[in-house]
Amino acid sequence: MKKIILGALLLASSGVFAQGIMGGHVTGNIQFDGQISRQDSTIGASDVPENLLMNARADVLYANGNFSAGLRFEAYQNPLLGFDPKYTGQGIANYFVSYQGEKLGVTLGHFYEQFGSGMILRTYEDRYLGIDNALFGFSVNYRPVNGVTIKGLVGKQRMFWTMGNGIVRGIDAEVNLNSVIKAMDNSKLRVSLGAGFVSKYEDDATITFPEDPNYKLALPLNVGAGSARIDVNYGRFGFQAEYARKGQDPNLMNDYIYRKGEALMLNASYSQKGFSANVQAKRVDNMAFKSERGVGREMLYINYIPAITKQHTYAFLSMYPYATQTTGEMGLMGDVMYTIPKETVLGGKYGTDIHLNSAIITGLKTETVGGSGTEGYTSDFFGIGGLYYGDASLEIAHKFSPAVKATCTYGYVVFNPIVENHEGELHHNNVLVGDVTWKVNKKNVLRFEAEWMGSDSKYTKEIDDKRAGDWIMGLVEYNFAKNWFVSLSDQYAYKDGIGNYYNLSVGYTHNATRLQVGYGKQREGLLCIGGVCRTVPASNGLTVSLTTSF
Amino acid sequence: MKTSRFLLYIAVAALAMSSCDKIDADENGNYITFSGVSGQWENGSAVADHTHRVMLEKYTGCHCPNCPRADVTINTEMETFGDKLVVMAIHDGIDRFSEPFAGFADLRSEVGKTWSQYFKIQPQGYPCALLSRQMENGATQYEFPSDDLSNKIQAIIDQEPLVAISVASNRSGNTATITASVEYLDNVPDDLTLTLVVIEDGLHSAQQNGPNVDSNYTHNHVLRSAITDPWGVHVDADGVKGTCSQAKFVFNDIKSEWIAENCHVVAFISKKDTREILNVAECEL
Repeated sequence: MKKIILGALLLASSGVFAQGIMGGHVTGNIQFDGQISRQDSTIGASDVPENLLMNARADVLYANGNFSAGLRFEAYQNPLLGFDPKYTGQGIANYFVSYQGEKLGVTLGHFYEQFGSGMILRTYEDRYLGIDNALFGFSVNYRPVNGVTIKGLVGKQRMFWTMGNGIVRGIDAEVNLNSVIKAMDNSKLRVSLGAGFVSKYEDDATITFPEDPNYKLALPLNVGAGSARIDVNYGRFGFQAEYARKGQDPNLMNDYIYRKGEALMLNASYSQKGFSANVQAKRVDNMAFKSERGVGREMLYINYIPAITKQHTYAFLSMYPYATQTTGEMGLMGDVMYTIPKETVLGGKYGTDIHLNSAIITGLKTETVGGSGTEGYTSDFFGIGGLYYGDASLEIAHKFSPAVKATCTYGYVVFNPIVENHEGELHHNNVLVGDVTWKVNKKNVLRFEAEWMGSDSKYTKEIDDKRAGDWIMGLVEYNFAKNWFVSLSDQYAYKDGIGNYYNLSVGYTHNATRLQVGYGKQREGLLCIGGVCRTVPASNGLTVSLTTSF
Repeated sequence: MKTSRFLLYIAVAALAMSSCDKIDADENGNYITFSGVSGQWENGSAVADHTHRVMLEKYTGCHCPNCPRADVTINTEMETFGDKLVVMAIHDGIDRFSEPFAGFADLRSEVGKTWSQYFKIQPQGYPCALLSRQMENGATQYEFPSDDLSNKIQAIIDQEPLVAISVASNRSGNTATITASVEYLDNVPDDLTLTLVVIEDGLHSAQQNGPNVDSNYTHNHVLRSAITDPWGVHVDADGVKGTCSQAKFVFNDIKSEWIAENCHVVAFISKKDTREILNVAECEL
């Protein structure tokens, strides 16, 4: 298969094909990340025997009318710190051919797909998390009439340089009522409905029943999950809901219990010029759905539970990111944005943006009925368990002049270490951030950032959480000569913590090419994107990053 | 029309995929199945009987019209070879042929299904037999009633056995203490496994026999359950000629629906990688 696609690409690019095939175009991007790190006992960075670590990749896409084909070359020699060593190696990690007609689309090879919000199926790739759970197989989408889309797929998931054991089969249908029902064509009420079903098959395995080694778990070989969803919009109001349910699925993530899974996601929003509000709620119960029951961590997830907590950008607010607990959690999030109009006392000449966001995530209230090989637990749908995470942030941004803009942020974070599988008390953190951007002229921009975090957590050698304590941070960033930037920052634990993390970065950007060289210390912690996280170990050294596209 | 047909295909595919397995809990709320006892190994004494026996696995089903004919052939072979031939009738539960007739005994077993799937019996059709799981050029050798079984069985018996095996059982109530002894008659570099199963004779139940259904057919040698894991337990010995080991198993999963007096224990030694059977022994449960 790999050879066929490579051959097709070569033929297409060498002009051997007839003129009807030619005329397409090739696009792509290349990324190289290198890292040199040395031992630093003060931050827990260990020596890197290879001296230089490297992640590199190149995506090439050929498109010609309805036809497209692509491949991705990846090289990890050896992977950067924090990436799974199983990535070590190089080769073509992804390839596909695809035809997307007006009504019918077909993809063979690797592909990414999502049903609804992803609660029963979402395959995706995130290079920064080191996650790629692409399906390798066959995917079809069909639009019999305008407003109706049916998707079907079969495949196995990528797992580093191999495939997971399970076969994933899925079907999804979505209907836009405004397109299908003529009377609703111009209606202010916009409605779409969707439903999907995903099933995975995996061979039997011997998993010993812990209470009697003469017995093993009776494993379901086919595990199904289905969901139904609705998306309603009326003028400025919007409402989305999705409910998913999963059959018995004993796996490593849920400690091999047989309780059925379910998840509910609700979202309501309102927006108008200068004001928007959004409320999200979710309840997730035993919804870790993987194509291989014995695989832990973040690999081979078939589904994805959307995160509702805000993706903070400032360093101290994102110091304790929340990792979605696919085995069980409840959450509520509110988000309000308001712009104080121009030419008012508080709005000033340019207006003032206020952004208020808060989220709370708890566990489920459960009663244990047994361990592996049993139902596991019972849970009242509305029963609230212990606090996992909570945050609230108020951000006020004001433009003082065409050249000067300032943003002040106050944030409060409460964090339960149990979500990172650590023991310990709740951490309560208060964070203040000041951020000023000064456009000196068209080619020169200065940005200053100051942060403070006060925490009731204290560093102890036993727990060794290097994020604990009170911190201050300063950052100066200078963009000059149109293409260049230099950034200097330092984070320092001034009370009850340890560590002084300085960083210097220099970068050059020209069109679609960006080169960045950094030197400094990286604190160990978690990097989370959309509630999915990977551990970032401590490092002290040089990083080089080069990206370009064509 | 094309569209509706396409949608129909999609719907059929959806129905096929909705075969989400449902596992029922036992009376204690556990979702478990008997997986076989692991046994306790110790140094043993020499096995008195060095006979090279052959295991004949007959894959069959109550709805298989030709299977009774195979029984006739097998009975003839048993008369010829006596205790040198150990027979198992495996109702593998792979398809409708082994489903029980309504109101009659279910002769299927999980272990039979596991083996049948592994040896890809289904495409061969029923009846189909394996002789000590012999392989040729890396492929499983399937036998059918019309084949020259006698010569093939004799050829295996004539081979010098690499191991000797004996088995004895001491039953009390629904618990049996089973002792299996193994002696290496030659150096064997392969990893070996010991598998114990229960078979039952004299089961009267319905059987398709040609065009007719015999509602009182006598089913013998019916594979009931594995005592060990279906693929056996590792033989705890160094593989050197003259090594003797024995293992003791306490089996307390004798089902109430079995007639224990009609049951036998079959013990066989096989190569872990190829599953080929090196020798087999049988005793009353």
